[in-house]
Amino acid sequence: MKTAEEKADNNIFKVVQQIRQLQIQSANGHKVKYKIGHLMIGTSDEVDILNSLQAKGLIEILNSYGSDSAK
Amino acid sequence: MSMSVTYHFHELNIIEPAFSQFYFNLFKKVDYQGYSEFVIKGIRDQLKDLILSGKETGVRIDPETDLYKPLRALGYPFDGVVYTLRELGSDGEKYLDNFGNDSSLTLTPKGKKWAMGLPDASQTATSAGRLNYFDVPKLASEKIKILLAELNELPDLAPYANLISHQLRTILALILKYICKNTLNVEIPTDKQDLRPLLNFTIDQCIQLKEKRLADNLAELRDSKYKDIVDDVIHDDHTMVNSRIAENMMTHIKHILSLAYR
Repeated sequence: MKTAEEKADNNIFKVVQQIRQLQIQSANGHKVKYKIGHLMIGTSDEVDILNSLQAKGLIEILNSYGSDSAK
Repeated sequence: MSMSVTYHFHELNIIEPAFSQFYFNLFKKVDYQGYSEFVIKGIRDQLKDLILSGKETGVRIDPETDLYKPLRALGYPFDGVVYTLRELGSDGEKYLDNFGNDSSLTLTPKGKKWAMGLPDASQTATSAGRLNYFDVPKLASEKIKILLAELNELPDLAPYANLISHQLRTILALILKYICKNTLNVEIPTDKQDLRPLLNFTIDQCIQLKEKRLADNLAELRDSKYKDIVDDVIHDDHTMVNSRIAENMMTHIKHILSLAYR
């Protein structure tokens, strides 16, 4: 069984890895739009992770576009 | 009943190099094994559903419609699914065919058994006997011969993945010393005796002395970060090295053995 800390690490890893991939793919290399789905794996709270990355000075959130529902 | 998914969009500016440093530090300490197994299980379940629903009856699978879309809807990370599918279609696994050459793919007979949780014929044969994976080079030292023979004697891979991975590191160090002494004719500096600096030193020397195939294969082994992954889990009481990682290491070492003792 994974500890809560390990699960949190994994969730951060997944978010950061997605940002990394988007960063690589984006045309200018630095500015990316990051899409967060509420139906993500496990208990991760991606918004909190993004806020914490911003607090650490690793990313800047330029704009938040609210929500968009897909059916 | 339709399922509603809500998305939020954020435009981010990534602050370099702090983000990169953070990413690489995180990559080292995260439980990558658990993450990988999680994605593999998702793909496997999806393939099993395809087989059971009659979709996979020898016809081609459209990755976008049959795998990416449903797995994304379940919340699996797209890039993780793509990378894992590539690994499942690689020469080492051979669960999938035509991946990379065509947009569509098929399950191999081995892949079908794997997806359905049935034993593979080759695995059944090895579990009853010996692993017998390595050809023991005649030119190798007695020490390497003994270490390789010990691995060949193992009944199976998965239950001994930690032991195999640990032993392969020792074997790699001995191969590197052999390459430096006999192939390259260079002396190893005293500060390059540990595995990681020794590997880097040997690659550099191979490049300088035009041993391109050796350099390429060693660099591939280094870049795959097996050492980091193995170091992270091998001394943890509760964690096993992923058997696929152990198998990949075995493939690399087998190839390097054939190049070193030629």
